[in-house]
Amino acid sequence: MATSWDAVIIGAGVNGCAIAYNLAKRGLRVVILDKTDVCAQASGQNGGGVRQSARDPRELPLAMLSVSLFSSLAEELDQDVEYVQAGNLRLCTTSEQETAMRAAVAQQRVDFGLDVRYVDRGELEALNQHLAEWVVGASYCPTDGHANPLLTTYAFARKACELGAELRTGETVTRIRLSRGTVRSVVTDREVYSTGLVINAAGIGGRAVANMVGLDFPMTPVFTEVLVTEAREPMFAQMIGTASSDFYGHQTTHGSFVWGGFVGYETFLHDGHHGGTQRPNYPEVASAICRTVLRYFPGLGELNVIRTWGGLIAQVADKVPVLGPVPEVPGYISATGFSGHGFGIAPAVGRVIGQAVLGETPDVDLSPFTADRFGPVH
Amino acid sequence: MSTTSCANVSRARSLADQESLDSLVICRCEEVSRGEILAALETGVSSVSGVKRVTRAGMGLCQGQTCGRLVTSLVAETTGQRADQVEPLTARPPVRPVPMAVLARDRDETAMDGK
Amino acid sequence: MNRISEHPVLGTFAKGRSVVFRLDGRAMEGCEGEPIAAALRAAGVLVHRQTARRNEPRGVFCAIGRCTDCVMVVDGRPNVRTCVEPLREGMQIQTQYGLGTLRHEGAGS
Repeated sequence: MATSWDAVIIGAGVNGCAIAYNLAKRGLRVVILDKTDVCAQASGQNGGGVRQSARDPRELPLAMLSVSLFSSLAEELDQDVEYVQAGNLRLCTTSEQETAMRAAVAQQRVDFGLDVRYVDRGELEALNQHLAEWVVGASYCPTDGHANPLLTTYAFARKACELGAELRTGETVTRIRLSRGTVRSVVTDREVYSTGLVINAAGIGGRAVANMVGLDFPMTPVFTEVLVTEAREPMFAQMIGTASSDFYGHQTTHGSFVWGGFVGYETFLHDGHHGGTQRPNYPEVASAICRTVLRYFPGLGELNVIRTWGGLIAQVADKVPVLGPVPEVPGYISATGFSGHGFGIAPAVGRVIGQAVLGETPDVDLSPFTADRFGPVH
Repeated sequence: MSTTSCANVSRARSLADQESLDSLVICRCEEVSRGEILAALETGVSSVSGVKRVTRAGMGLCQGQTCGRLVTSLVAETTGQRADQVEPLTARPPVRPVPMAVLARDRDETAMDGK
Repeated sequence: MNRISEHPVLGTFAKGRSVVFRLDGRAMEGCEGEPIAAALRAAGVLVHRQTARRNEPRGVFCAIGRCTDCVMVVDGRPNVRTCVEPLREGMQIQTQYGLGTLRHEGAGS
């Protein structure tokens, strides 16, 4: 006996839950389905960055909208999400990096009016006293920051449920039934959900879900690791990245440092993920991340690493998500493929997808994110 | 346990102040109480990992080595499962704290020398 | 608190030489190489730290380096598991308050 819904959202990650919240707020009868649990994939293996700088230009409007939404999110969702807006530093160590960074920063200011600038060593030292002597400067975006992705996701989920949404975990979507090319129902291993609207927020499972309605997009899973240190008293609050993109991270509200890195062979690592929660770790990756971080922050050498974890990035070929309705499949809306940077834009994605569902003009134009940008859809 | 001691325990439990039971620290590292964990389990959280994400139980310095089983049994109780049916906290390296400088060196030569 | 010098089962113990260390600036004595926690216990010190959230006292709990209840600030480094860390001459040991050495009032720092 099928139940009837205004919308079915596949995926209880931060974007799925943000969309659910936005739809439930407008009175839609929504159910979120997840094959494991809230926050089980990328949202739960997440660097927590809320960043505008150094994004693909196509994502910048979403990122800027998101930053403004984050500033009042705790109040809106009745839950502290540990949002800290202390800026983002992308560190440079060579004059070539400095030249390139100055140009990139100027471009972002001109094209998007983003508050970002290059800071030289002198100004950098005032912002962060823990840098190695060979860091020559950095790009600095004062309105960037970080938040807790776990609390944010659960906050969206909880608020959505308070507003009438339903959350069903441990339930796997097996089919999306179309009738004359239009969405009619979503079938899981437990029941049938009759609906005219399905939103694909399935993250790492997003491509498989798209395939269920005869769509595809070029997405590959990329395994990446992060290490967590013991908690220490506050040292610095900025989000950190580098011009060479070798590591990123920050010190959380709780005092521990979260450091992720790209050691160069991520695409060749097989994560052995079998749908459960146990993933392997590669000790050489944590070692490499430590070496890289200590090159820039030598004083952190005595900090103890207490955990390493890994996760899968749903990497789309051009590294930006597939967002919005797909005219060829009425009733199907894509909100997936965030390529490792979906957390920071989640509040905005929740809003604009909600607007798209309701037939309103989205606050951000979604045409750069269409499914047909890789070629004809059918 | 014999029936007599079970009866004693349940009588003691009913006599115990509910408030003090709820304020029992389960995760010693992050100071997460039994009451906080049960409250989380009432709001859409149904797994040990979920409890961890929302309350921080298991995220502290000992990484759940001390509280893991206690959290698992609370989840089991609340969700009507046996403790061995509940997916436990994910175990991850390192098994004890290791300084970044030591991990960076990649080889177990000397202890950290401050360099 | 007295140290056990002869145990009915374990016999006698070969301990390191007596060394001076400081606890919160106070000079104390212990045996070189024994766990810091042992030296503290022998000196009657049972409270190693105050927790960050509830400002509650903690000391040795598991005594095997696993639970991290006994951590203190040692030579400026916080979170040192004193039940497994060997005592060295001249060590500066401090009661850990939350994550550091500054006392905090009430719950939360």
